[in-house]
Amino acid sequence: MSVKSICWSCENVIPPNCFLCQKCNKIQPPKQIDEFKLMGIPETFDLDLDELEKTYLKLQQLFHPDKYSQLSDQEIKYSTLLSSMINEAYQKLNSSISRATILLKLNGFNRHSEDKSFNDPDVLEEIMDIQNEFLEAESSELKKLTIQKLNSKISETMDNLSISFKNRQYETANKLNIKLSYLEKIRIDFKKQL
Amino acid sequence: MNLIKIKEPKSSKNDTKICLGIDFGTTNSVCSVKVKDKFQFILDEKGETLIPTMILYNSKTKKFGNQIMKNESYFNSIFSVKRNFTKDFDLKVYEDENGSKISSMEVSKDFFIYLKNLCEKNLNQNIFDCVITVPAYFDEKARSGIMRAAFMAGLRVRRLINEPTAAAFAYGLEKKKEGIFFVYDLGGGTFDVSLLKLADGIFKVIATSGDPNLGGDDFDILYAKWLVKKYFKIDFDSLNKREKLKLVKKSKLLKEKLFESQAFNEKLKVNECVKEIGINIKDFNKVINNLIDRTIQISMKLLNEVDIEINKIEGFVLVGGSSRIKCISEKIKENFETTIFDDVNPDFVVSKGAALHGYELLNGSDNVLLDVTPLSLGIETMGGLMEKIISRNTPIPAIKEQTFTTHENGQTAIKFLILQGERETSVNNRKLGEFILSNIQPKPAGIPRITIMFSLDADGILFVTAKDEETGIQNKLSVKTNDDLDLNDMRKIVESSIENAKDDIHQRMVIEAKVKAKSFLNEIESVKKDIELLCSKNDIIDIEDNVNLLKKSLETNDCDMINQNIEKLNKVTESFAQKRIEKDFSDVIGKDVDKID
Repeated sequence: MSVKSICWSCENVIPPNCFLCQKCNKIQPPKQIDEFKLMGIPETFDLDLDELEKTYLKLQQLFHPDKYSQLSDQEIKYSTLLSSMINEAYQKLNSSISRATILLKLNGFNRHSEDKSFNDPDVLEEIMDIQNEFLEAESSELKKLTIQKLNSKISETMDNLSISFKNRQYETANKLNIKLSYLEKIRIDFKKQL
Repeated sequence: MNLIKIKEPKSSKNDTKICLGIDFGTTNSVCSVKVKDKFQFILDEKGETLIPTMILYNSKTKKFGNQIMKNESYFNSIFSVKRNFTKDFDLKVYEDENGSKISSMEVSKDFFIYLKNLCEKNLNQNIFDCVITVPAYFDEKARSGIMRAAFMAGLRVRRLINEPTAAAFAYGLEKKKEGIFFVYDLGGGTFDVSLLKLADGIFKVIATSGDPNLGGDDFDILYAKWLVKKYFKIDFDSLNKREKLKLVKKSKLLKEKLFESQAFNEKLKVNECVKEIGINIKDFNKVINNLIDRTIQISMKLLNEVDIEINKIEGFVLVGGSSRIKCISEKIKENFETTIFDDVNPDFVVSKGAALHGYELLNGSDNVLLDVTPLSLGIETMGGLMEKIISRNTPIPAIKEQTFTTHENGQTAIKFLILQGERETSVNNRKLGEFILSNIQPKPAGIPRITIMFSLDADGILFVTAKDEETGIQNKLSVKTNDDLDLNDMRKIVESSIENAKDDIHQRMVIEAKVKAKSFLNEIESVKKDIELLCSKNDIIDIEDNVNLLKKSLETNDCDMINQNIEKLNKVTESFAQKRIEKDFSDVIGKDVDKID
C-alpha cells in the first residue's frame, strides 16, 4: 500500500512517518496518518498525559508556522497544515473518550454504528440513579458527595476500559467507552449546576 | 575579487533582522524593538514612549499623538478609533486634512504610517517588518481590518498576536517564571483574560475570553455622567457633542489623578457653569463597580470552564493601563484566593512581548507561542441555526472539515453564511461573509456532498473553502472588507512593493495601485462566464489582452503604468458592465435563477 514519497525540493526518498527531508531538511507535505503515528507514540490507551504534552510541545517547537515565517509560501503552507494536525491529534489523544474511539477505529470498530443500538439496561439504570441522587440532594455538601461518587465511577470505568484494551476485547471496550462518555456528560452537567 | 570577499561577512553574519512590536491601543500605542540583543522602546518627538492613539486632521495638516496640544483643537481630534474595528470600520465617518471622507481603517492607516516613520527616525533606517498585537477577544473581521490598515501603511505584518499572550511572553521571559498564569488585561477599550502555561520556552494559551467593548473609556463615560448628574443636576445625554467630549476627557484626567491621590478638589465646568467639587476614590469606585464586577464574572467563568483548580494557578498578572485602578486588585483578591503580580509596567509589556516575538520570528529561537481562537466559527444551517466547525479555545493553526448536503431536489447552488460567536441562532452571531457554491450537479435532496474546510492560520485569520466532492468545483472565501482582496494577496503586494520602492510615499502609492488592480482582476475573473456569454468575440479578445497587460504591469513597481492599465481595462469592460446590469435585471424578472437555499 505505502507509496514511496520523494522530497518536493531535492527528490530524496522520504521514509514513512517522516516530516522533514533527511537530506535537505525541508518540511514535507503532511499525509493522512493516525494520531498515534503522527505523535510518534505507541498505540495504547494507557498514555502518560504529561509525557503526551511534552511530545506535543516538542513537535510544535519543530513545526509551528512561526518557525517557517521566513521561508517560502509552500513551506509555510505545509507547516500550517502539519501544525494543525498536531494540534488536533493532541486534543483527541488527551481525552480518554476520543483516545478510546481512535483505538477502536484502528481496530475496526466504528463507534457511530454501535451508538444508536446502545441500550444496555444496567448502564442506563446506573446513570439514572446517579442523576436522581444529584437532583434529590438537598445541600451542596450532599451534591458534592454525589459528584465524588460519580468521579469514582468514572475512574473505575477507565480502569476497566484499559483492561479490555489490553485483552483486545474491543466489543467490551466499545461499550465501556460509550458508558464513559455518558458519565462524562453528566459530570459536566453537575459541575454547571453546582 | 579580494575586496568583495572582505566585505561579505560583515553584511551577512552580524546583522540581525529588525521587526517592530506594535501595541496599537484604543487609548495609547507603544512601539518597541529588539536590535542585536538590545531591547528598546521607540520615542516620539517629545521623548515619550506612550503615544496617544489620536489623530487630528486640520486644514492641510495631520497631527498625531503627543503632537496634538491640549487646547481647543484637541477636541476635534479622533479618539479611540480602534473601537470601530468591532463595528463597521469601512464606513466613511471621518474627514481628512483635504476634506475627503475617510473610514476608520484609513485613519488607522495614517496612524500606522506615523508610527512607522517614528520608528525609522529612531533607528535611522527603513523598517517594514512588524508584529502587531490585537485584543484576544477580537473577532475575524476586526483582526483582518487591523492587518489591512497596517498593510496599506506599507508594513509587512509578520504576525498578529493576542495582547494577553504578548504580555505573558514578555513577562515569562523577563521574570523567568514557570507555571500557570492568569492574565487580566484591561485596556482603554477592550478587556481580555487568558490562561497560559509557561514552561521552558513554551508559552501555551489554555483558554481565553473577554469583552471587546469594555475598557477604561467606559469608566470615563460613566464617571462623567455621574458627575454632571450629581453636581449639576443635568442629564449627560442632553448636552451637546462637544460638551460631552470635554467632560469625558476631563473625567479621564480625574481618573488618572485618582491613581495618585485618594481625594482632591477640582473645578468642573459644564455649559459655562463652574463649580468646585470634591473628587474622591470612593465615589469613583462605586460608579464603575458594575463594570469591574463584569470583568470578575468573565474571569470566573473562564476558570470554571477550563477545569483547573485555582490553587494550581500561580497568580494573576495585571496588564493594560486601566488595571492600575486600585479597586481591581482588591476585587480580585476578594474573589480568588491567589497572588497578584503587578511587577510589570502594564502599559509597556504588551508591546515588549510583540517586539521579542518579532525578533524571534526573523532571527530564530527555540521559544514557541501557542495560541487559541477566542470565538467559535461555523456556518448557518437550516432554520437559522449556527453549526460550529471550529469551537472556541481550539489551538491555532487549525484546519477542520465538515460535509453538508442540499435540502431540495435538483438544487444546483448553495449559499454559505460564515458566522462567528457562541450563540445558537445565527442572527445573534457576527456574520463574517457569505459565498455561493454553484454548478452543483442536480441531484435529489441529500445526495450531493459538499465539503467545507475552515482553515485558521497562526494569525487567527480564517480562510474557507467549499468543494463539491463530485465535480471538484471549489470556491474560496477569506474574511475581507468591502473590496475583494484577501489578506494573502495583500501580503504579497506589500512584499513586492518593498523591493525597489524609491521611498515610503512611492511604496504606498505602489501598494494602493496594486490593490486596486488586483481587486479589479479578481472581479473580472469572477464574471468570466458572463463575459463569454454577453460579449462579442472581438470584445472578449480586447478584454483578455488588457487583463494580461494589467497582470504584466503588476510585476513591476511602476504605479503610473498600473493605473493607466486599470483605466484601459475599465474602458474596454464598460459596455460589458452595462450588459451585465441588464442581464441581472432580466434574470430577476424572468425568475431564471438557480434555486438557492
